[in-house]
Amino acid sequence: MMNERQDPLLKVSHLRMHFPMIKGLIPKACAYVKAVEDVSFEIEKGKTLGLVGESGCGKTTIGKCILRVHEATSGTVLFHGQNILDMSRKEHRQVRRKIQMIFQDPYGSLDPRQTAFDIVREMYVADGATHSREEAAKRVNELMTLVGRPPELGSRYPHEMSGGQRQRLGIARALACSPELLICDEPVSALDVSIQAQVINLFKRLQRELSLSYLFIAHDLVVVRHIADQIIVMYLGHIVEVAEAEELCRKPYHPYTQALLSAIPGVDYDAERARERIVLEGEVPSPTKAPSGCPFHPRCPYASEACQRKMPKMKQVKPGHQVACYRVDWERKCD
Amino acid sequence: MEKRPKKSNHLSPAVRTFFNRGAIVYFAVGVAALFLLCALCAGWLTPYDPNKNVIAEAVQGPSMKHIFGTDEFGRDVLTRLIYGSRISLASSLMACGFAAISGMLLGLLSGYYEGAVGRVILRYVDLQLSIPPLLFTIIIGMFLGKGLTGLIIALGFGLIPSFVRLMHSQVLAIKNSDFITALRLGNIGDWQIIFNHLLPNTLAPMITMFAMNLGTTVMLESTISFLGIGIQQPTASWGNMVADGEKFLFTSPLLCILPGVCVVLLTVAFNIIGDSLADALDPRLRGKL
Amino acid sequence: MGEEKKTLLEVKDLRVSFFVDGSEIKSVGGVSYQVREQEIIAIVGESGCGKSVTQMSTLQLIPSPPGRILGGEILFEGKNLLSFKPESREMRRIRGKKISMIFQEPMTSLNPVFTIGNQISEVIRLHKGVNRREAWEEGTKALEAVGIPDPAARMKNYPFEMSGGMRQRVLIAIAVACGSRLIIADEPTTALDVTTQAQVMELLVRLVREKGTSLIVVTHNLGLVARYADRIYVMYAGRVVESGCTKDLLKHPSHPYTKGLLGSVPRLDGDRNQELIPIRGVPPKLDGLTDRCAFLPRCPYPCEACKNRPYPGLRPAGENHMTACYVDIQGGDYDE
Repeated sequence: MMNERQDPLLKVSHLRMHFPMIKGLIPKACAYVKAVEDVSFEIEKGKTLGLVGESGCGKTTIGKCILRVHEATSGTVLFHGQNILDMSRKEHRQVRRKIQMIFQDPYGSLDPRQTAFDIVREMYVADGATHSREEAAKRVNELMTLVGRPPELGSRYPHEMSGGQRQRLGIARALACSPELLICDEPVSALDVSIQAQVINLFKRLQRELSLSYLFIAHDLVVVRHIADQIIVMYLGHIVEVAEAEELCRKPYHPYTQALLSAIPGVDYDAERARERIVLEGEVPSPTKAPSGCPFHPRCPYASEACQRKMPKMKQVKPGHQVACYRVDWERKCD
Repeated sequence: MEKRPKKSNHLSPAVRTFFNRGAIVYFAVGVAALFLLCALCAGWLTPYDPNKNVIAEAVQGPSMKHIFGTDEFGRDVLTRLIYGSRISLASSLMACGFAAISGMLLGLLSGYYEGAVGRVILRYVDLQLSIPPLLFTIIIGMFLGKGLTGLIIALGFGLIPSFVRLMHSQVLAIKNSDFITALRLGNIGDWQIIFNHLLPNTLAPMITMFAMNLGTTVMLESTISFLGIGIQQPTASWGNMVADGEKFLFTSPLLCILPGVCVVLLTVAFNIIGDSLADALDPRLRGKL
Repeated sequence: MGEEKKTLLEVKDLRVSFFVDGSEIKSVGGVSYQVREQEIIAIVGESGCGKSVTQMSTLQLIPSPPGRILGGEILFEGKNLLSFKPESREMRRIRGKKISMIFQEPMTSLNPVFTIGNQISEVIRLHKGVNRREAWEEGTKALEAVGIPDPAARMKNYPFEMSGGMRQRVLIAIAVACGSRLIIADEPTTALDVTTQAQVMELLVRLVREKGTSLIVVTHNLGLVARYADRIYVMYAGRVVESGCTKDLLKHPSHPYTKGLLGSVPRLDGDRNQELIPIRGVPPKLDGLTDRCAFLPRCPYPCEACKNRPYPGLRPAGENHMTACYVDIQGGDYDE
C-alpha cells in the first residue's frame, strides 16, 4: 500500500519474539512469553513511524529485536534490503552503527563515570577509522552544538546534568555513529513537561537536517501524533491498528485505539468537560497470561464469541488504514 | 574546551561521607595506621630480636626494660606483638588481594558469559559456601603445609566465594544496563566495554568488600595460628602468642590478653573502615540526603 | 462556585527548607492555599517545585533532619497542625482519620506482609470502633465500591498479588472507608498505564463527590486535572505563581510559566507541522534562589520591574484569579 517508488529503509515482516521461561537445575524452557506476535511494518527514509501501546504490549521488544539486543524467534528485518537477523556477527557489525537507540531513562543510559565529552567521543572513534585527537574533539563539539548542548559543558558528569541535558547527550552519542535510523524508546516520558517540548522539537529538527528516520516508541498518543507520520497501535504483542497519524487520531476504528484516545487528558477546558470518556474495564493482563483469540476481548465493550476464539486478521478500511477487529465491517457501514 | 574534570569535585563529598560517623572512624583509621606503621618499621621500633631466647628473663612482668614483660622463653612481648602485626597484616592483605583478584575474575566470567561456564562457577561457589569457612581453610592449610605462603593461599581460598558472588551480581546488573547496550550498538568491543566501563563501575562495592574481609581474615589467621596449623614457632603471630600464653593465663595473663586485644582492635578497625567506605562509595548516599 | 463553602484546610505562608551539606534548599518558600469543603483542588508543577513537600508538611511527614518547617500555619478545621508535634496523638489521629494520603507508588504505602483485608479492616476497626467481623465485612464492601471484582476473594490477597491499578484502588478504598474529610492524592496515576489512569481518576473523583470529601490532587500534568478540578494552583520553584478556578486559569493563563506549560504540550487537534513552543532553559536550582522572580531567566516577557524588584507575590488577575507577575501578559505591559 506504500508507494512503490523506492525500497523502504526498514522492512519488518512477521516478526515474532517468544521469550522462554527457564526453570530447573538443568535449564529448560517450560513455557514461552509471547512478547511480539507476527508484526510487520515499514519505515521509509526520512519518515517517522510511531509505535503506541501500554506496558507489556511488546513495543520495546520490537525495537530491541531490530537492534538484535534480543534475538527474534522468527521473522525478517530488512535494512536496505538486507536481512539483519540472518547476518553473521561480522556482517552485522558493518550495519550495526546505522541503527541507534535513544533510551527512556537518560541517566541509566550514560556511564556515570564518564564525562559528556568522553561519552560522545568514545562512540565516534569506536569504528576504527582512527581520527586524530583534534578531529575527534572538533566532531564531538559539532555534535554537542547540533543537539543544543553547550560544548563547554563537556567536562560534566551525568549526575551533574538535568534530565533534558542528559537526553540531549544521549542523542549526541547516537548521532556520533552517523545513523540512518533512530529507535527512540519513550525518549521524553521521563522528562519534565516544559523540557519535553524542547526535546520533541529537537527530534523534528534533526530529522529535517539529517534526513533521519525514526521508530518512535511511546505510550502517549498525543506526543506520537505530533512527531510520527504513521502510527501503529499495539496491544499485548499484536498490532491492532495502523494508519496515518492524523487519520488514526481523527477516526480510530479499533475499540482499543478509541479507548486509548479517550483516556488521554487534554488541557482544553471546554473539550475536557464536555466529552464522554470511554473507560475500559480491567487492566492490561500480563503477557505471561495472554487471553485466547483477540487479546483485547476481556476488556472490549463489543467482544463477541468469535473474538475469544481467533485473532482477527488485519483489514484495510481505507488506503493506509488497517484494523484487526471483527467489528470493522459493521463500523464502516455506520460511517 | 576539554577541561579536565575537577577531581576534588568528585572526591570531596565521598571523603566527607567517609568521616560522617565521626570519632569512631578517626579511631579506626588511627588504629589501622598504627599497626601498619608497626609492621613496616618493626626493626626500628624495638631493640630486641623477637625470636631470640633469653631463658634467664623468662616470664617477667612489665618493667622498664620490657614494657609488657617477657614470655616463657624470655622474649620481649612488645617486640613480638610488633612483629606479629607484620604477619597479621601481610597475611590478611595478601589473602584478601588474592581472593579479590580471583573472585573478580571468576565473577566477571560467570556474569559476562552466562551459560555453561557461568553455571559451573556458581555451582562451585555454592558448594564451597556450604562448608564452614574455618573448616575449609584448615583443610586447605593442611594440604598446603605449614608456613606463611600456605596460610595466605588457604585464607584467600576461603574468601573467594563472597567476592565471586558480589562481582557476579554487579556484572549482571551493569551488563544489562542501557549504557552497555548503547556501547554495543556503537560497535565497541567486548574488551573495551569490560575494562573501561564494566570494571570501573563494579569497583566501589568490591573495595568495600575488600576492607570488610580484611577484618575477617585477621581473625581467621589468628584462629588458625592459635590452633597450631598456621604460623609456627618461633615466628611471632598474634594467634600462636595467645596459644603459648594460655599456660600462664592465671600467673601472667598479659601474655594471653595483649595479642588478643590486638586482634580485636585490628578486626574492629577494618570493619568500621569497610562500613564507612560502603557509605562513601555509594553515590546515592554521597552528598545527598 | 455559587455559594461560599466553609474552608476546610488553609495553608498560610508555609516555608520548608532542607539543609544538606551546609546549604539551604528552599523547597517551599512561602506557599498559601486553601481547600473548601467538598472541593477538588489541584496543585500543578514540575519535579522539584515543592508540590509534594508542601503536602508532606501538612501531615508533618517531612524527614527531619534534613528537612525543617521554618514557618507558616496549616489550619485544618480551625486548628493549627504545626502546633502539634509530628508524633503526637493529635497528629496521628489526623493522619488517616481526618486526612488520608494516596501516593504515586501504591506498593510502598501497603504493608507487603499483610493481606489487603487485614490492612483495610484494621483501619476501619481503628476509626469506627467496630469488631473484627464487622470491619471485615465493611472492608469487603469498600473494595466492591472501588470496583475491584470478586472483593471477598481479593481481601485475602497480598499486595504483590495485585496490579498497580488494583493497589491504587485499595488505597482509595482505605482512604474513603475511614471517612476522611480530606484526601491528598500525590501523583495518583503517574505510575499507571494510560487506560488505567483514566479508570482510577474517574473512580477517585466519583467517590469524593459521593462522600462530600475534599480532594487535593498533586500532579505534573495539567491535562489530568482539567476535567475534574475546581481550582488550580500552579507552583514553580517553591512558590505558587498562579491560582484560579480551572476554567479561568486554563483559558486565560496570566503567568508566563502557566502559559508556557499550556503551550508546550502537544494537542490532539494541533497542527503537526507547527513547532511546539517550549519553555527555554531549565528549572532553577533551589539552593541558590534570590528574592527575584525565579522564572525570570526563562521568561519570554521579562521587564525592568522583574529585574529590579523582588518577587511580586500573588496579585489579582481577575475574579478569583491570582498571579505572581509584574507583567500583564494578556493586556499590555504592567505599569506601576
